[in-house]
Amino acid sequence: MNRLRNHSSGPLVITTLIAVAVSFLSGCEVPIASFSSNLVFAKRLEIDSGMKMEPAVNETQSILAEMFGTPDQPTWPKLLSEDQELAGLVSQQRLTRAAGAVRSDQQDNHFGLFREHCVHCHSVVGNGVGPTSSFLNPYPRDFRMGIFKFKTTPKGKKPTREDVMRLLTEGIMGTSMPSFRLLKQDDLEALTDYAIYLAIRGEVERRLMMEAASELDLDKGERLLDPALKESAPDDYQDQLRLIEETVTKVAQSWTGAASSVTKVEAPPADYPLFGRDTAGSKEAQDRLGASIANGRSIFHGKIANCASCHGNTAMGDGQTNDYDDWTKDWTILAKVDPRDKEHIQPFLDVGALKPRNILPRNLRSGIYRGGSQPVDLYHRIVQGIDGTPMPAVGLKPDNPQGLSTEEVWDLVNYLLSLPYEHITQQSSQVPPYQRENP
Amino acid sequence: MGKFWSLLFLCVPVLGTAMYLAGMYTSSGPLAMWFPENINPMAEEIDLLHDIILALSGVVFVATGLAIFLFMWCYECGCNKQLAKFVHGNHRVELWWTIIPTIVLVALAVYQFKVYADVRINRPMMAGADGVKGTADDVPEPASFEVMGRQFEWRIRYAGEDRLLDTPDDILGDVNELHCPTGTVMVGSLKSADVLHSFFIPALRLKNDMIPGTRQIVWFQADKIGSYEIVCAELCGWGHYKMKGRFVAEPPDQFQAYLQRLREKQFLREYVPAPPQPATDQVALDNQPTN
Ligand code: HEC
Ligand SMILES: [Cu+2]
Repeated sequence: MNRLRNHSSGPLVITTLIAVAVSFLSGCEVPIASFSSNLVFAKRLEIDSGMKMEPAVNETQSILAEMFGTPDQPTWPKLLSEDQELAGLVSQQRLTRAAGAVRSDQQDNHFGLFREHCVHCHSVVGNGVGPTSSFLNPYPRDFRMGIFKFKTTPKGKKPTREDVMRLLTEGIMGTSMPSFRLLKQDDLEALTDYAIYLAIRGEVERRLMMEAASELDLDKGERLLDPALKESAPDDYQDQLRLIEETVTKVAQSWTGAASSVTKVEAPPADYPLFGRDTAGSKEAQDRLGASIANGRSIFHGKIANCASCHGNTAMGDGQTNDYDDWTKDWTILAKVDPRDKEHIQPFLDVGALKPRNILPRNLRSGIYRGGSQPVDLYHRIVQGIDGTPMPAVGLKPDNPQGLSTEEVWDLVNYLLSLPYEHITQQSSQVPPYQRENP
Repeated sequence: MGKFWSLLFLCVPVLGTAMYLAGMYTSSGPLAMWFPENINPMAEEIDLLHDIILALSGVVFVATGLAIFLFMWCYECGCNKQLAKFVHGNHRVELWWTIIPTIVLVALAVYQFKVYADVRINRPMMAGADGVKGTADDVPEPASFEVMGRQFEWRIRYAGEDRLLDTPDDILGDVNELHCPTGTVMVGSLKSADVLHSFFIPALRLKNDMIPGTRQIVWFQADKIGSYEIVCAELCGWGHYKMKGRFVAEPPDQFQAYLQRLREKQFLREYVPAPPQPATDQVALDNQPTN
């Protein structure tokens, strides 16, 4: 009882207050955001060239910082904003809106959008190795190769601005990329610019590093842009500078050229059968649709398109399943590293590469299409192939006499659209799941 | 310092009540946190039930808070010189504080049976083979739309002319946007592509978990034209906060026109450069009537 009486609650109150204050004030130190270097690519070049890449990595980083700024203050390179044709590709204002720390104003306009919505997967530099990446399948996209899968331009070409925008608004079904449809239009525009900016920056980085590895003797101290030459050999210095500027311009030009290379798709005659629309139509329409699907099926399994070789005879994606996508091949096959060899890939994993995974042909019976499910989307996929993946483009007549006619492509589209509703063949459904090769 | 703890504990009922009142009676600002207006006549009783339970638990909350305060204030050891007395229970009091809550809880349980059955069990029916509604061969109304929760978005699908889902004439909806005609009982089917989500439209008082591997059936009627919020009410992963959607209640003819637009989009066989997107800022996520 005495003990209780003498007890004063003063110290307890003060300790509580201090504890609360400390927990509020600590943990507020945020590291300054910076663009990390492409060390995985550097490692590959190191193996290729036998030189230490570190000086080139550092130099590239400072050249890039000069031109493209930092994550908090990104800049659109002056030489691009001064070029009439390239200036409109990315707007500095939108870049600024998308960059920096997350913040908003009284009218609920958001800034720092990239870090608010994208960074935990795509990371600050856009290499697809954010904190959540290793939990996701497929991995988030690394923008720095400048390769995009789902677009309206042929293989090897950049996507159009609308293509990038569409990925943001619609999301990518079957992957972890969600739709950002309900963001404000301005926000989406800003994020589109920022993604293009990161892609260009990343591709310039790769090209400069490649240039250094193939043209310079780094061990002797040769540099991409040697400030010492400024005084001693101004002409050489100017040449070096011009080379760098040309690299940047070339990458940017590949983006502005995209709009004019869009695959034009002309609709077939309106009464050409279409799965879904005509499935419950007149007897005649149904017959035509049936014939179209049957033709599509034989093309799918036929010699010319040979879709079944990858997607499997059941179209469930169980054909060729041991290939890799270009993002993985870039540091494995191309560096003569076996992606299945744990020890061999470890140095790459150490510098940030994600564990290689096989690229799987899509299960075409699930009805889930990453690039959109409109017939025109499937048409694009078939005649363009899918960039960065083994999925090839089908040749079209008359340019390619061995290819398919547009009608045949539409038949193939009808077959694809019908697949999710088609009963799997008797034979394979009788095989119990544990006996199938790819359950 | 003597009365510090008792005053601190007094804050609980006082601030708690103040926050509730502010939430109920302020119409804007950070304190305005009450339900949005209910537009679903099938869920009116949910609100009533909520109010009754809130009133009952509110009384208990304030009473216990005040009792704790009073005891702490009167028997604070710093100023109360009396020695403690030990009491070994009081049968009569214990009896009452058991009987009264039991009566209240049983009454609530009986009352909510019907509300629960209405929103979860008595699925809307339609006429069966005999073509007359209300007879023994009535069949459940089929779901006319499907929402699939997915980390981290809502994928929407509408039944086509055959009124059935999972058939080739299904109409693919816009992602994160569910439309429905006003004044019509809607039956929907919920499923999940990955983990547990919970489909929540506060203005309809509709909340239902989406359980991987199963279909959940929900029904409602939206009576007021407008654009309302859809949210995910089950922490489903790191992007849970991204799962915001828009629920649009519109006159039946506009709804049909919307389905027609979706159908045209779904059957597109021609490359058309992306049409300028409607600036979503114009259709804010509040009860502004859309047109
Ligand atoms: C060399 C292997 C290969 C061949 C041959 C091939 N595909 Fe693919 N296909 C793939 C791979 C791999 C993917 C998955 C790409 C990805 O990861 O997005 C794919 C994806 C697809 C998709 C999904 C597109 C989307 O939006 O999700 C469709 C549809 C498709 N293929 C159809 C076809 C058709 C039709 C043919 C025959 C003309 C064909 N494929 C031939 C490998 C192949
Ligand atoms: Cu969710």
